[in-house]
Amino acid sequence: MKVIICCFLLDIGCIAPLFAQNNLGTRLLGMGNSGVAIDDVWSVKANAANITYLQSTEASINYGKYAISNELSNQAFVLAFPISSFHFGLHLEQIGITNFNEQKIGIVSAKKFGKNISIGLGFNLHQINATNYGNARGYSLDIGLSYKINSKNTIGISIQNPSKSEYQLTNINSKITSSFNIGYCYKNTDKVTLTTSINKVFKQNTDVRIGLEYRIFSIMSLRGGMSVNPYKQYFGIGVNHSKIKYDLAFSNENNLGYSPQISLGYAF
Amino acid sequence: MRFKVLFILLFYSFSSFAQKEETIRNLTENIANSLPEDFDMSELIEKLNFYQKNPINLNNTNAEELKNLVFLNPLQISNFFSHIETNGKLNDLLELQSIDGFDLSVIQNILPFVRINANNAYNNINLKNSLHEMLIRYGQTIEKQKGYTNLEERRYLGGPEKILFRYKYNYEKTISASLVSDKDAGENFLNNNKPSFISANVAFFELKKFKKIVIGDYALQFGQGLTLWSGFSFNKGADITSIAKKDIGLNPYSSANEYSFFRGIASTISIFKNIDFTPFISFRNLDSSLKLNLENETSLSNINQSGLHRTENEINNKNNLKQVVYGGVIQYQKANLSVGLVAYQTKFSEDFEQSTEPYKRYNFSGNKLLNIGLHYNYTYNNIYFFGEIARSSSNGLAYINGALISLSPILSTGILHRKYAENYHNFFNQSLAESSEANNESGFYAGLNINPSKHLSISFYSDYFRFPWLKYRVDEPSSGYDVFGQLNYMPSKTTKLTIRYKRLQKQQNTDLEKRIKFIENVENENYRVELNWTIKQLKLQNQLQVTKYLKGEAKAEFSHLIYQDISYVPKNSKISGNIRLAYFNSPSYNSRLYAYEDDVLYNFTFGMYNGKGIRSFLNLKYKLTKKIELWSRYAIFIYPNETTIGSDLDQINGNKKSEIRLQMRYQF
Repeated sequence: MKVIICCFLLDIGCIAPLFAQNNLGTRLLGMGNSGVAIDDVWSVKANAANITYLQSTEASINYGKYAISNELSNQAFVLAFPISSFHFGLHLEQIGITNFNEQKIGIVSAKKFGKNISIGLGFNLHQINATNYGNARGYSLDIGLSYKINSKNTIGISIQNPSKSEYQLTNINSKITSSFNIGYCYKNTDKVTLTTSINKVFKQNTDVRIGLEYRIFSIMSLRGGMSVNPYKQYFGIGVNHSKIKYDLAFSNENNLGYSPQISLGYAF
Repeated sequence: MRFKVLFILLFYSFSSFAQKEETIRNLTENIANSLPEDFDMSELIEKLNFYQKNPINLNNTNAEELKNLVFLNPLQISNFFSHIETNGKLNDLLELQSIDGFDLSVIQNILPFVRINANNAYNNINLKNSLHEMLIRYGQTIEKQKGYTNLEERRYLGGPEKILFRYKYNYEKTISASLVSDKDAGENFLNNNKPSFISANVAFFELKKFKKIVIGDYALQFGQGLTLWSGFSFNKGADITSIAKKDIGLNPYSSANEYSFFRGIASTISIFKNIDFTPFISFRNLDSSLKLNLENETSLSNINQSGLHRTENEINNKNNLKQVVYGGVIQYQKANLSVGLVAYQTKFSEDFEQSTEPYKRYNFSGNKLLNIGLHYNYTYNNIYFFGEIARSSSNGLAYINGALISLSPILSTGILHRKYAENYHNFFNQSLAESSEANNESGFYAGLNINPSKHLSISFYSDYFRFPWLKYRVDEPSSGYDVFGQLNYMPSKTTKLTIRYKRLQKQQNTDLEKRIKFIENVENENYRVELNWTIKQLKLQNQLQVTKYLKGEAKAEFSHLIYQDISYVPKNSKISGNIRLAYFNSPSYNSRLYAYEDDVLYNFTFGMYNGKGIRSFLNLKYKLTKKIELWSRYAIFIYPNETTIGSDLDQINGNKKSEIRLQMRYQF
């Protein structure tokens, strides 16, 4: 079975959309993965510029399954911390099955320029391991920009792998994702946050995403979102008690069914 | 300041009647393609006409009455009663502004239909006790259609004219009566000395414990429409709050639509404080296609819902099926909670046959069906929960649950989950669904309304649905989704820009001869830009629509429509009117377009624009006296590249199809 899935995944038509899905953590997944302009510890992966709005060191770990196969999973860890006037971040991610998986390790650095503008830069190491095919490595850069119009409105831009760098081994037909993402976050009240983004992955369709978070009780938030291309619905719930953040989210894709994800985070 | 706000409200209320039509247009637009041509939507607007003449006393009203105001959503209605309960009766209309969900635009909309009178003596406010309204409408397609020629076999036996007569009488809010008669194009005035369609009723309201009594034709609308809902209902629309149905219970029926109503007697009785009971019984003769089986017995294949009796076959099928419906509804309503239990039986004089076609495997068979259902709505702070669970005696279970949440003064959201079994059967079912009937479907809907300022409003929704069993032209279980977004920008009182996007993806059998997959995706995308603006006494509307149709790997089809509307509505003038000039081009019926068309009063038309051509119409209204108003309409389609229009008996030789309509309303 694994061999069949492995062969299946080696086809770029299947693997590209899967690996191109940047894991933005469970909170942002519940909000339709529209996290370019929102501040969260997972901004380390969504838009590094936004980690400048974090008040303290935060870390989070997550685990996700995919509706396409029970054997497929995704694990990730992120850490963001301030040092002097800079913020730094680290992320580790693995996606795939035993015989075919991709790892991504990255470091980011971000700084505020004035009250409203933040810029973040990230450097990533990518590795693909495919049994009987060998390993392939590649490197990529991420650039993030955030503009806080006021306390309620933020615009974010994130460019991933703008140089379109590729894996150094050519017998594996997989690419490092290049994408351009622009987003808007509107904190309507202290209970309601609305996000939207336009996401363009190189050589793929443009996606429009919308997300909503509603803090229904002081420790609990409900989330929902959708993306247009491909069409997906998202639902999430988050509990924020003391310094611990627990999030659960599902994405539902046409014909495929539900993909769940959980996260556990801690704000020091 | 106080007077200034009141003045602004009153000033705007003059435009509310136009607003009323626009609201109904927005609510009905999404279902335009599933409604028959010339569907009578008078029931939507005539209630508003009534309340304009007999305004609702907000200090002595109930939820059922307020649900008739299409501008109010269930959460607003619930918030209104919470406010009254907490703060007592209203002293001033301006107090409405302090109720959650009631902004200036909502108050402007409802102002012509409501009054405040603390001592409940609103009848003294210069209102006439009795109101008679008589309406006559005549319409005809000018070009001769094939069905009216001397064909030897099948042809239309009546004339091409369409005639509607409607009389309504209201005595205050205690007695009403109506009589409706209708002759469709191609029908005779009389068949076997009986009118083609006639509907009448007498209704009494608030007679001690009897809240309502209707003798004659009536409608029943309860809960979310899953168990018992006759007549018309809204579906998904630009306003996301329309997903929660506003049930008005028992109501006299005065529409010209000939299928979905009851005929007999029904009453709503207050049996205890907060508990109402609505027993009903109905006897009707329906049109159906009957056939003989191998044992020489008649069986029923389908009910004809069109109400058309034009050809010999249609006339023979008229009233050949007897239907008896009886049952009752118990409703409990207190503060923020409403619960209702519905049970009724539907019996037919003939058996529905068991079809051998796979997609009809779960269709209803037999002649007797019992339906039971439980519906509820409950308001908790800023959340309005609603839902219904229903079961048919054929073991089919169906349920729907949803919530409207007012997240903040400018943001509200709606979510809804539904699951209808393949074998859930119901003849009076109007629950929210992608299909025309609520069975063989499950889905999840989520929508958002955003009103950041009085100049800007944004709404969008997404709906994912699955059909677990086969459907017509879909030979596998299938799924799809519906995405909608709309932005309204109103830079001034007279200018409005609307941008709308809608994408609907479903699955259908492939057209390919060499089949790899049996079903493939069918995608319909629609883009629309509309601009409304004013030059002195002229109101102008420009609209551009583009539709993309794509099935599987085939080449995409694109169609477009562009039109200019000009309305002339001078103040204090007896004459007003509007005109449209449109150009459209759609390569096939698959990529056809729909656009709202102004028409004579009570008639809502969604024109279907198919093929390549020009569309134009002219409407004129003339107020002859204070009591008599006249309407006229001339509309034409021109298809320059065609030699015939239409098909079968409706075919016209030539490239033009034109229609006239005349209407008179006499109120006394």
